[in-house]
Amino acid sequence: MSAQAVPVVLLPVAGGWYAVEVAVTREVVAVSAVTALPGAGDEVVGLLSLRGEVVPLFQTAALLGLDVRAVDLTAYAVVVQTGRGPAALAVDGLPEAVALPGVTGRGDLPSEDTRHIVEAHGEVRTVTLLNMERLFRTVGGT
Amino acid sequence: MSTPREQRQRNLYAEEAEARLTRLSEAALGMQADLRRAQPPDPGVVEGMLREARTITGGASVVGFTHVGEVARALEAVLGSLRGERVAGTGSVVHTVLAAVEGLRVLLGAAVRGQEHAVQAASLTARIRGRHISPTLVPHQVVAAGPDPLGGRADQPKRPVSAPLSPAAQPRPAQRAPAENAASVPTPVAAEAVPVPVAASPASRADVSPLPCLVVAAGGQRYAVPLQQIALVLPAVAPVSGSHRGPAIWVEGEPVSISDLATVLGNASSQVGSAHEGPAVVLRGLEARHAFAVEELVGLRDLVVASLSPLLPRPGCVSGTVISSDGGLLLVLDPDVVVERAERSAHGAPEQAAPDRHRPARVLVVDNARVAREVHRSVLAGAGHEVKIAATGAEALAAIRRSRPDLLLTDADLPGMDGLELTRAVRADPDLAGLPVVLLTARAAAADRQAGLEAGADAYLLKGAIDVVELRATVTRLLGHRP
Repeated sequence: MSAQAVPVVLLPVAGGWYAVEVAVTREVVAVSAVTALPGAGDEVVGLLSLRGEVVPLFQTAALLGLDVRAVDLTAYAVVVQTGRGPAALAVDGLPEAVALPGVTGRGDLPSEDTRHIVEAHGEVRTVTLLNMERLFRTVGGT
Repeated sequence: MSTPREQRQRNLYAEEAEARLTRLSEAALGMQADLRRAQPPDPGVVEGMLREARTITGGASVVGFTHVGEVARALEAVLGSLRGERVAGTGSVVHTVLAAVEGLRVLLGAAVRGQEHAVQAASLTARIRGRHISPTLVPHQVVAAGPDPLGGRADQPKRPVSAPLSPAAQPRPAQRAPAENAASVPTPVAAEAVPVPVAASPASRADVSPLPCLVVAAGGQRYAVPLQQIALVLPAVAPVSGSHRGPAIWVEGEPVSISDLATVLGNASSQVGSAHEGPAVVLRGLEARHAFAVEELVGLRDLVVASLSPLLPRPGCVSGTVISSDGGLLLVLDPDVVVERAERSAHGAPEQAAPDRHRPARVLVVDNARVAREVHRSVLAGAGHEVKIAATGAEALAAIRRSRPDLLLTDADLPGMDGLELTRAVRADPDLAGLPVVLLTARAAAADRQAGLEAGADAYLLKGAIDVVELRATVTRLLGHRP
C-alpha cells in the first residue's frame, strides 16, 4: 500500500502537540458552559451539553499523564467518537487541521500512539498521533 | 441550643414526616403495579369535567397543568384537546408529593397578565382506582406563589366553589400552611419557582420510566435527588454541635450527622455550623442516614434520566443527567455514594490531610535493573512528579516507612522480597494500606496478573507492552485518589 497523508486535527496540550484523526473527530467546540461532575477525578473536567447530547469533557493532559498544572485555561474542546461513545478533549488553544505525512493508509494506522514530524505555519512540530481506544483505556466505569 | 420541649416537638415532626413519606412511597410503588393494568378514562368524561370547572371558576381558562408520571401520559391524549386554549404545556404551577403520586393535576384559573401571582381556582386530579384511571375535579382556593407559565396570572375565582368533593378531594395535609416552628416542620410541599420542563438526551441511553426527584440547590448548582431515598425533607434546621462526629440534627430521637451538600460534592468549602438555619434533606444510604444542608428546596420533578457515559468513573456521586429546556444540565445524585462519602468524612475515618494538588506527587520507583529505574524515573519526572528510587523490596519498605510516598511503582521480580511481597507488606500496615501500588512485570499470564491484584496492587502493567502514555495515565489516575 502506498504511503499517503492522513488528515488529522492537531491539539495543543500542555505545551506539546498531539493529533487525532479527522475520521474520529466530530467537531471542535468553544467551551462556554461546563457542568462540574462531583468526585469524577482529575481526568474529568465536567459535562458539556451539545445540542441535547451530554458529552463528558476530559482533561487531555491528565489522560496523557502530563502535568495538569501546565495547562492553560480551557477554551476549546475537540469532540471525538470512541468505542464507548462521544468524548470531548479539552485543549489549550484552537486546534488545527493538517495532513499527517509519513503514515500509510488509514487501515494501517498503528494501534499504539506514534510520533510524527509535521510543518504547520512555517513551524516544525513533533506530533504524537493518539489512538482513542488507548487514550480512554484507563478511564470509565465497569 | 434548643430546649427539650423544642427537641421533642422536632422529633414528633420528624416521625410524622417519616411516616408520611413512607406511606407515599408505598402508594407510589403500589401504583406502578396498578398502572400496568390501568385503562385511561373516556375523553368525554374529562372534557365534561373541565367544562364544569370552567363554569365553577366563572369561565376561567386553564393556566397550566402539572404533568407527572404514568397517569399523566395516559391522559395526555385527552389533554391534547385543551391545548387550543391557554394551556401552558408540561410546566407546573404547584407541585407536591401527592401530585407525584397521583400523577396529574390540571390547574384552572382566570389569567391576568402582568401581575405576580396566580390564584388556583380548581384542579383536575387523576388517580388509580381499580383498573381505571379516574379523574376528579378538585376545587381550590389556594394561592399559589410563582409565575404563571403563560406569563400572566390567574385571578380569584369569580364564583364560590360548589362542586361536590370526593374523599380524595378533601383538603390535603400537604397543603396546610407550615406550622410556626418552621425550623422543624418537615413538609413535602414545595412551591415551584420556575417550571422546568425537561427532556432526556436523545443520544443518550435513557430509562424511559420517570424518576420522581426532589430538586435542590447547593453551591450555586441544582441537583436532583431520587425521592425514594429521601427519608425526610426539612424546610429549616438548626443543627446541634458537640458530637465527636460534628454537627447533627435530631431525627426520631437519634442524632443524624449533617453536612453541607456542596462541600461533600466538592463545589464549595463551607461547613455546617450551629448557625445554619436553611433547608436540609435526610438521605438513606446503604448503611446509614445522613442529612445534607442545601441552599434551596427547588421543587419536585418527575425526570426522565439519561445514564452517564461509560467513559466516566464509577461509582460516582452522580448517577445520571437531565437536560432542561434551557439546555442546562441537571445532575441526578446517587444517594448511596453521597451518603457514604459524607459518613466517611463525618466519622473522621482515616483523618487524612486535604489533597494538595499544587505539590508534586512523590513516587517511589523500585527496580533492581538500573536502566529500568532510570527510564521510569525519567518518564514520571517528565510528568511533574518527584521520583525516588530503590533497588530492592526491603530497601523500598524501609524508605516508605521513613517517608510515605504518594504512589509505589515496583517491579514484581525483585531479589529477596519481591514486588508481590512488598505489596502485601504495604497492605498489611494500617498506616500504609491506602498507598496506591502499580506492579510492573514481564509476566503476562492471567494467573500472574491475578496474583498481583490479589496481593493488593491497584494496577498491573506489562513491561514488554508498556508505553509512556499508559504508564503516565495509570499513575495520574491512581494519584487522583491520593490522600
